[in-house]
Amino acid sequence: MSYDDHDDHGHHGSWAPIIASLGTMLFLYGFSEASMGITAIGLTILVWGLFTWWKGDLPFDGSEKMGELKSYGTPFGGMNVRKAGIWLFLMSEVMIFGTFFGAYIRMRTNWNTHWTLRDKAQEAIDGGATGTVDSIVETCMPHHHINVAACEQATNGLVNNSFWFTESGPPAYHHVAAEYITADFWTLLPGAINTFALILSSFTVVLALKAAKNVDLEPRVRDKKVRNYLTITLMLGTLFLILKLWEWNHLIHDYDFTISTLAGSFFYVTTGAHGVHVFVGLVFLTYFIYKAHIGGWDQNNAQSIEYYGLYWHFVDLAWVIIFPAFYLY
Amino acid sequence: MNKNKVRVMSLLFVIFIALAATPQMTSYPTGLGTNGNNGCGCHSGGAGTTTVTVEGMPDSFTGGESYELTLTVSNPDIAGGEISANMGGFRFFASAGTFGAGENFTDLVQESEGGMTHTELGNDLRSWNVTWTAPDNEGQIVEFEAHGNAVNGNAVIPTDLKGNTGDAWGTFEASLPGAAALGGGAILIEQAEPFEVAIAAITFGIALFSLMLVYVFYRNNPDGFNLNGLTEWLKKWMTTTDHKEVGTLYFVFSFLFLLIGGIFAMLFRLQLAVADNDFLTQDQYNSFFTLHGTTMIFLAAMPMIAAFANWIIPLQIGAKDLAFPRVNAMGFWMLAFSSFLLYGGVMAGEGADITWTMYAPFSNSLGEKGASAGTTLFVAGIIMLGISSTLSGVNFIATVMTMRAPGVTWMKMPLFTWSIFVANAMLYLSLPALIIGTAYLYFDRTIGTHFYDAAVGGDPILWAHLFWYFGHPEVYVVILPAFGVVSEVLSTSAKRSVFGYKSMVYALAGIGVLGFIVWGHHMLTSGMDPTLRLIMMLTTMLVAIPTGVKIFNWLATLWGGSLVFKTHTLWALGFLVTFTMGGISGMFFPVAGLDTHFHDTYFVVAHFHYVLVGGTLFGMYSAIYYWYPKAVGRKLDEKLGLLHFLITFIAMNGTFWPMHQLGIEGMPRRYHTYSVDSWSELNSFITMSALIMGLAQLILAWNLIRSYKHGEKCGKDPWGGWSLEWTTTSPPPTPSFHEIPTQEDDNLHHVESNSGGMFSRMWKGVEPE
Ligand code: HEM
Ligand SMILES: [Cu+2]
Repeated sequence: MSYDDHDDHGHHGSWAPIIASLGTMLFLYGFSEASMGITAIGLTILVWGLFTWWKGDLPFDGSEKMGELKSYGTPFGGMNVRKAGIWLFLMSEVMIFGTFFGAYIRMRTNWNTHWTLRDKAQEAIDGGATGTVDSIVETCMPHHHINVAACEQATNGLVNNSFWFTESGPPAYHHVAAEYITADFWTLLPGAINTFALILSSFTVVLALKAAKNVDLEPRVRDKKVRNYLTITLMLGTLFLILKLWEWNHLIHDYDFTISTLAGSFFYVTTGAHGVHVFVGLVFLTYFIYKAHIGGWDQNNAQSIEYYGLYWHFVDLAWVIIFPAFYLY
Repeated sequence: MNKNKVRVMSLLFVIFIALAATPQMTSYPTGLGTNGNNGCGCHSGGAGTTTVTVEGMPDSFTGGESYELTLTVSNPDIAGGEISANMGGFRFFASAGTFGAGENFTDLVQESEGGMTHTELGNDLRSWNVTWTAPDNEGQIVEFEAHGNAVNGNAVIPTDLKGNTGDAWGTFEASLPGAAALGGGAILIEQAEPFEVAIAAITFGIALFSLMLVYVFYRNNPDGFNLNGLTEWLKKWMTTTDHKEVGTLYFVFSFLFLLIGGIFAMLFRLQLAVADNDFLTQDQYNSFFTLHGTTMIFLAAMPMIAAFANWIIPLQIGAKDLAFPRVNAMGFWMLAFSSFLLYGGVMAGEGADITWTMYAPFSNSLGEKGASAGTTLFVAGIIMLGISSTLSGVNFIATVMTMRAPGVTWMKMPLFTWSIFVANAMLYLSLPALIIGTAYLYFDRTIGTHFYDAAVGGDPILWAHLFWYFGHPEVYVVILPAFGVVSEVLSTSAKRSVFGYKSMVYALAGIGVLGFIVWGHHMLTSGMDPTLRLIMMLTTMLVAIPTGVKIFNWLATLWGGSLVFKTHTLWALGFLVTFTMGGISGMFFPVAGLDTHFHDTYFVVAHFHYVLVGGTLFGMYSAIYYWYPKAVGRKLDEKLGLLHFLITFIAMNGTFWPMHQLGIEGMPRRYHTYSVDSWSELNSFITMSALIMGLAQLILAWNLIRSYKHGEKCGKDPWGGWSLEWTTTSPPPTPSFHEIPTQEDDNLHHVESNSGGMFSRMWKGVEPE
């Protein structure tokens, strides 16, 4: 992730890539076959690969020999290559969350139902119904919710129950998470706390970076400060995950809002993917804290914390968009 | 033992166990996966003393006749008990003929996946009647296979009269010859089982491959041929982060899978050679062409491109290595291991059958009528491929953006580097749609989400949008690098700089941008939004403009150049012809009215093979002949190269040209057979050409191996290229440059192409130098 590559470009190789890839494969294999054993083995091997990677990184001191290359030429001239790399990586993360978001909005606005409805509305008008296509659509789906009876009337019976609902029951269009969450102050609270926790944790990463770069501090004080700020970040992130799980539990058990409804699928997978990003961030953070603990950060290599921070800010930003879209809308 | 040996050995061990376990895990009667292949198969494990018998089998069958068979499971340890719920179950398969319910058993047994199984009601029994109607062809032997379970969840056992949740299943197998096969005078040629052929071919391929590895190791240093040396050598390849070595890994991997994908193609071309053929079953056909498409795109074309990108990009821009060498190695290993997931199902006879486009709602369907069970693994493999490509995409873009040597400015960068840059920018910005799309699919199949399930309001068209939002950029990801190679090869061969360099760059960038807003042309018949359909029609037609600019620039580069006919030149010229034809057939589709006729016919198959084989593959072959000397220090044999080119070029057209006609006549793609006799003639011709084309690739394989030791030696710059890769030794040192070099102007080395303007030169027909 952020402090990827401290290879000096001399050529000792690294075991990390092959081990981590093998772990990923076994993990996915186990998950597909619903075999907890293999899943766990895969995960273990994946972590082993990560450790191997970090072992190589621990002595990183920010020198060019250790792989901190400088970029030349437009557009990044003078910037560290790793920083350009993390920005590029974040671009693809933007697309990842953009996809989540686009698919969700498509569902929420009934985009695909909408235009088949338009066809039907036109058909109804051709058959003598009054109004325009737009007005019929508005009657059928005021505020994106479905009004079956009014719609049937407006289209002279053309768009009836069987247009909207399948034999196995109503499509779960309108039961979105926000309905339950916004119903009550106490259900909204965890999400609100989480939002603040993440924003605050973005701030503490910046403080850690500032401390690490501060040459006026005595090394011992500096190390302690860096470690403490990072630890606060870790705790805030952990709080986030705990509250999230608590909230999921609440939605599932008290409201029966499960993953097997359409809105539930989107809600749990999207917020879950965000949660995984937070979790991965925390895993990396433990490495940073360990390095701070042994006094590994100073002004020469603290940019690694900065790059980590870029990722962490991104995760924060993603949440700031997810929260209103999934919890309030 | 030293640490290396332990590590190499244990990693190899895990890999082989994984290989071996894949088919084992999945050959239980449950089949693959957790999703209910119902029948006795809701349980696994516990094979024991259960016996399965089938009564009523004749000694030989008469074609078309029906037989009433009684299947019984029994187990002395789990004696009858009282009739109770869930006391037994079975599944019954035959390689030919059809099954039906036995008399009075219509509620108790049902059809499932081409065989029979019990129903919910029927699992209260341990004996069932089914009918089997023999196939018409009496000259064959029909194989029967049955799995029976004497417990099936919770039968009542006599001792404690409580539910027994264990399992005890057994298997029955028999062969039943037809009357003619039994000395009725007809000569019986036992039918080859194509599935076994495929497995055998792949196993053989892997064995051959391992042997080849050992041989290569031996040839490298005959004196050091011992276990220590071998693990040391393997360790080097398993841990390498050097861009040239990772490039070599990519290349070997892609070539192996090019051959495997080719084997699949040969097998199903045999099936399609004549009307009503039954060489492959429908299921086998489906999973073979799924694997063929996916393999060719993701495991052959893209890795081959990545191989050259790895090898050449740092050399061309004068960098010591890629920006993130370890991430680069990770990209390769993710790819390599994903192939296990993709192929896991095939090994177990449950290969994914969802085509490379993986369309929902079939791909997310489970159970008997759904996609085959290996699909889950397959989708997991696609996710892993997505991770792999994202890693390498970020890496290449970062490298080109930050590590260009002095003189390699954006507008002086070699076109191959430009093409890789644009291709990877497209790739890594479109991949997220695929990753998320397949993640949705994966969760639909594993943890019970309903993204694509229309029954609860989910949206199958969402899949098509997500897939093609990735899929169309993807086809440019595989063609742009070929554009780059052809630009390099043609300008070097014509001994002049590329005509209209700037317009080439803008065309690449233009394609890169336009490529993102045309995906809907794959969905014109899907029932998508009509407004979007209109927009996509128009934008798709626009793509032809930058593509046309490139083609005319290549032609103008040749104009007035003094062309040298090396093998790579031939491939590039071949590319110009075949790719242009593919581009022209592509222009038929954006017209929605025409596409309604063409969609999902062989016309589409002809189109994309002209662009993928005639475009991407020819381009990459050109690259092989062009850069092999740089990588190895020896040239490939030109005579073998000429032979390879001629055969492939002719056979390629023989294979794909007739498909246009079949498509126009309405032959649908993705069907395992057809009943229109008049199509047989063209199809047999296609199959023959395909076999010839497949075999011709062995010439290349041989050439690659032979020239490694015996090719003609060459210096730094065998072809007269001008860009930085030709300024370093062949093979280059590690790190690839000791001193960061400075690039000079192309035109110092070549006849400048646009002095005097395009038209004056073209009309006058300027003499070079
Ligand atoms: C002039 C440029 C091109 C145009 C206008 C074009 C247009 C199209 C259209 C509209 C389709 C969908 C046809 C249908 O399914 O009914 C299609 C299919 C396809 N094209 Fe192209 N194409 C072009 C170039 C390329 C290139 C350069 C490649 C790849 C190297 C490519 C690869 C494919 C593939 C793989 C399919 C089949 C997808 C499937 O499995 O359904 N095309 N093309
Ligand atoms: Cu397309």
